[in-house]
Amino acid sequence: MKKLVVIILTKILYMAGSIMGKGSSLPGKLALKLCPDILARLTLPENIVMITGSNGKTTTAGMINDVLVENGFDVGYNYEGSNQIEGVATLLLRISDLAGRVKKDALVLEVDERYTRYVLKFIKPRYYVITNLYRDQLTRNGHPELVYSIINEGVTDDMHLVLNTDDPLSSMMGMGKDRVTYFGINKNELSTDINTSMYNDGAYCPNCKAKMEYDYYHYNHIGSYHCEACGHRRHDPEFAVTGIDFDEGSFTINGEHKITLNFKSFYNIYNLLAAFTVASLLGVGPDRICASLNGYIVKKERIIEFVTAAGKGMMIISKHENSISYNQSLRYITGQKGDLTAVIIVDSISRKYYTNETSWLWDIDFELLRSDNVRRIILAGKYAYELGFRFKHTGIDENRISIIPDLDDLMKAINDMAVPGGKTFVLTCFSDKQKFIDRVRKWN
Amino acid sequence: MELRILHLYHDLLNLYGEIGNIKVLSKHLADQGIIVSVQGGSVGDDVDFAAYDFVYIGSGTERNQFVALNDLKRHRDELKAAIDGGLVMLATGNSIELFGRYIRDTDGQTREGLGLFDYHAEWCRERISTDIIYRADFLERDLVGYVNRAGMAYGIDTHLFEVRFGVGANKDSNKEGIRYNNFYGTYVIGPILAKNPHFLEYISRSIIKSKDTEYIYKEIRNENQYRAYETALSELTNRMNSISHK
Repeated sequence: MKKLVVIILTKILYMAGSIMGKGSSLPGKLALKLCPDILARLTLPENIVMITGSNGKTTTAGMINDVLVENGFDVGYNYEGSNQIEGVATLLLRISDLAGRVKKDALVLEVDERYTRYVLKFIKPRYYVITNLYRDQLTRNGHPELVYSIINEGVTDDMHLVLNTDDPLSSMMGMGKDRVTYFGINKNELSTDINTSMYNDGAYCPNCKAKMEYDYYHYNHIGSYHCEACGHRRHDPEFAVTGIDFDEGSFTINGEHKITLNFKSFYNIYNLLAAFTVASLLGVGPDRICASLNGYIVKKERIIEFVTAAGKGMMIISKHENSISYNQSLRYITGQKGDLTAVIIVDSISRKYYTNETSWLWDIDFELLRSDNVRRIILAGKYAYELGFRFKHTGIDENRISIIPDLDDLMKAINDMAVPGGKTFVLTCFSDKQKFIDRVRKWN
Repeated sequence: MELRILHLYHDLLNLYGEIGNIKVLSKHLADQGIIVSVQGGSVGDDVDFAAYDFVYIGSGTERNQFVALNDLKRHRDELKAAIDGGLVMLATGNSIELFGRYIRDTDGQTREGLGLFDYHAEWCRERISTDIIYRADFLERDLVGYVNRAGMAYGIDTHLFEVRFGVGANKDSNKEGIRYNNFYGTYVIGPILAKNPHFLEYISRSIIKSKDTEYIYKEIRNENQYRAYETALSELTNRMNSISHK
């Protein structure tokens, strides 16, 4: 009886919320309050895919959902912004019938890494994808090893793990487990012998803390590693990227399945590879997966194009407090041909909480912008001076750098200072995205 | 003048942008016209503390902290002699726990520290993660920064800072950090010398003075660093006032 009431109430609240344009976590939150084990009382489909990790989980979950839907699956999916237990509860109660049965072919659940242990109490995924574990929002996460323990607490032997073999930390979850599928990128012409980043989180084995050996790196500490002391190593991936062609804009999985790239970056490849892996495990044929993923356009909210008098511009979301996310965007920019302008905006560090913590600015490889074609660099927002001081230590010619602390002055600065005829790339976080978009609109 | 800097456990205790301290300090000293060399020293390395003019150690994960502790024990006596002899050293983040008598983890297990100082650390169930403003009698302006750590320190009698905002050595203390001779230790994480121009200058003067008391320190200000500091201080002061008025 209670179950029925809670289900009906959640559905009504969800509908009311949708009309008012409210977020999707409130109905689930109330449902969990009224009936804390409501999720355990539901009948769920067998095919549950859960996705967590530091970077790429939203994009990967979206890709998995899209491939499955395009291939005839009826899918329940918690889209962006509802990846805590409340959001999962809202989704499941919304799509269940009044008896609590979720009649779907598959569920695709993105779960915030800090909430996995709560969600896993009630929901056992058939496939559990961990994209990677990086330094991310350390003001609230502490550090990656803590996040690892939180996720690992919820892992049980009956789950089939889908792991990134190139990440020494998250791949450790597969140790001693039978049901693991690894995905990864094999050595290619972009691989390097040495780690040139500000820090190396793979310097010591995450399992036994002996010094780790690397055969090559893709970026930061992501690559091929092995520990002589305990044997922890990169496993040969069952789903491997065997070739990357950034000029053409494509990559190949297992030597035969080619996928074209709309956005040419390593992290896009990892997300697509993880989606390919999961869809394959769920029985979708490789050609059909490739057809769905070819030229996949990353969600509009993450990459936005705009135009100023100086020419075309593109905003790329790089998460604050996440140096690897920034490094990936910086690599994308420096991989472009022709002269360009780079704009970095740090105005609020987070949209969810207040902090003045900026140590992560020193973990980012801003030195990558010490490149001939990066003609102009504009540092903007409340932390522009701090960025300016950080850039003083990059060796980049200071004549190329402008500091614009007030975002109201930014569009004029781009307009006046951006290199003519070159593209402008704006890097910022969700916390500052809208501020920039508003200024672009006002300017146009 | 030539100065040698040792970045201790550069590859292990580097969790929160600690490399920034080395970059900023070595550039500031080089701008004085000093020849600066930086060396990393880590697990298993031979380290001669007497050969350095400044030693820095930063923060790491709790497991890395223990790896560093076990390794540093080999050098305990030489390190003690160097600090007693006036070596300028800065320890940030949870590395300060290494220098006390012991560390007690959340399961009640204790690990012996280096025992250079008479305090100890106890880890808490809840991680301590907050912005801070501290005051020091040797700095003309307040210090801004962040703490992100597992433990509390008890029994420090020669503190470095007074807490204006945020948390102290432990929850009952309004003092933070340790000062002994030229050893400066604080739970504040990350690039503390980048965030705080006055502390950068103070440490730089100390290093130079320890090498040559006659050497004339040049006032070199980086305006961006000062402006960034003023922004951070005013933000955090507003934050402090808005919280205290609630």
